Amino acid sequence: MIRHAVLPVFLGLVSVIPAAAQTQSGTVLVHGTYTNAEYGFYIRLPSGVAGEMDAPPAPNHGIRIELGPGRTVEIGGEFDAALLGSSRAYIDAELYAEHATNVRYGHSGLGKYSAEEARAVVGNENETLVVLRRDVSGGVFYRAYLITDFAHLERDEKTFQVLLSTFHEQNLPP
Amino acid sequence: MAQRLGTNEDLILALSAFEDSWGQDAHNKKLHNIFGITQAGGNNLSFTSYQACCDYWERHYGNAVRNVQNIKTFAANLRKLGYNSANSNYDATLNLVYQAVIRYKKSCAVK
Repeated sequence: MIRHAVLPVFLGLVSVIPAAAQTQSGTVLVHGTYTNAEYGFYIRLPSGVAGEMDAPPAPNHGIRIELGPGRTVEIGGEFDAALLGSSRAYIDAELYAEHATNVRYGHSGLGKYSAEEARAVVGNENETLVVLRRDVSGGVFYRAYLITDFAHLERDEKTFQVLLSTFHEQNLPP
Repeated sequence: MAQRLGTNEDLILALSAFEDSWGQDAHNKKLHNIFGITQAGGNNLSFTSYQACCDYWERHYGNAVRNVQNIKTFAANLRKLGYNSANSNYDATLNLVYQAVIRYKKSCAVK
């Protein structure tokens, strides 16, 4: 399914290379459109919002967006190398590893795609995890993670939803 | 490579499985890139052989995992060098892959 025909407009986006400004922590700042050709997706960052991706030669799995101290959004892709087989299994494995409590499952959208969602509490943080699995290359997970505190939950959730809505799949490289 | 670095080969296998989907990813296969190594701009690098890819990885990351014997330290040391900062749960994720490698080797009776 992921190898669907690509919209012509998308061809222009593929060539968008993130701004090469390196941060003090060694990550690369990204503005505008973040494209991940290896896992086949892109997202559009709202004006004034910057993301960070790992600097080469580290693998490029996704982007991290700082919303404030201890508050982040992560959007990325990875293979189903742990052989989990489903979005729900991925969510459960992640939340189990984090000793999450108050877990509530639901459905959400990742761009135009229906994805699994879980909201949970980890320590003093609220976490919302949205996962979509695709059956390509042995399985690919797209994951979006909101980590925030109770005080900023409503506001950060809105930003999170905006970012989720800009998610698009693209062809994986041949 | 694991012997040279004095590390557990299963840790290297787990990382490779994570980055190229147990060798199932056609693109990385074509590139001989079993570690998801990138170039400027974020796309994966092409190598002339799997050995060339391993040599490259060892040059850049070998010291970070030298003599490391457990997945927790392995993942933490790679993270310090900027590995997968887009996944705050990377250590746990890689641990799951490591456990899958152990299970797979047992099921195949590989030593």
